[in-house]
Amino acid sequence: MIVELGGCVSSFLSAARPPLVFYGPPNLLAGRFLHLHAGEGLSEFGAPTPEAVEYCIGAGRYAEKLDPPYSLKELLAVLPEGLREKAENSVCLRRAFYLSRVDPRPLRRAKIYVDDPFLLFALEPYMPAYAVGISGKRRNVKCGADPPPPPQLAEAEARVMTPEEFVDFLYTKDIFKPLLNPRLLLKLLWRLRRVL
Amino acid sequence: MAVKKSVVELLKFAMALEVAFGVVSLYWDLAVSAAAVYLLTYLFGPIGGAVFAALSAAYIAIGYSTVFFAYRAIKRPELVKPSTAILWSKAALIAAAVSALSANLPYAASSALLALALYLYAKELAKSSA
Repeated sequence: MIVELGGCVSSFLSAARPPLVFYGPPNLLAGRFLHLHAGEGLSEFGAPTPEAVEYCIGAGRYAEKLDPPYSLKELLAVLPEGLREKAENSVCLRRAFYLSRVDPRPLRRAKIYVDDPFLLFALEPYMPAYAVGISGKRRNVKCGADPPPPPQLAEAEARVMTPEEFVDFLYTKDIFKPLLNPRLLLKLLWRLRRVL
Repeated sequence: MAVKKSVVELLKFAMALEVAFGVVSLYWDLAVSAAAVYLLTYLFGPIGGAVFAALSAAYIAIGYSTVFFAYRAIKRPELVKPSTAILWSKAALIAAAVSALSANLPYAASSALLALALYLYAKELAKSSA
């Protein structure tokens, strides 16, 4: 869930606990932030969030049906006729696929600033995501008593996993989660019905 | 969809083992769960027995459905997605863990092998669709 901030954004960001990811104008930053860049690359395999698919081709609700990881071909199969052509030619979508495989593990303890919306979408499943200028759940923040500290930016390059590393990552991330999460367990039972 | 032949062979081997040990251990599972259901019903009333019966039914169903999924991956690989392969690999891992806990080691080993094969299969799918 991406939260769109309004009001005293900088005092909110300086008080918030890491990890978090923020997208917006850099003059709103306060405190230490990691400025994350991403290398060039396009791909057709990954796990773009529904928000990313919505941003690129306006088909977020179709992407919700797919479980990560998926390929462009699987996405095309669930899209209706008109959107399918748009998706086939979309460079934006291929970029979203590529950046959805960003490795979040080294970033678990940082406040991150991104100027690339795809990185915001890619990191959103792993940490709270705040934005100015991308519509999400709206939240107006109050001003703190102290003036926020001046921004300090450290440059960093995002590591993008290969498809195989990404499968490893998804596999080991939550190996016994299906047992603990009743919704996933029900989904598993639902799948059982289809297989049998 | 070019999946490496060795991975498919491993999947076939693991599935064959799973079927063989699955049939053998089905009798064992049924005997143990019948005894446990009887005991629990005696001790805690019908609810205790029903809960255990439901758990063992879920365990047997998970074990068998992983076999069905592996069969589908071998017969119709175009229908299999990386996400479902990962999901069923985890299901096989759960079945292996439960079998190991109930001292059914051959079945635990074959389930673990099936989990490994499905995991490698998911990786192969990812590689070929990238």
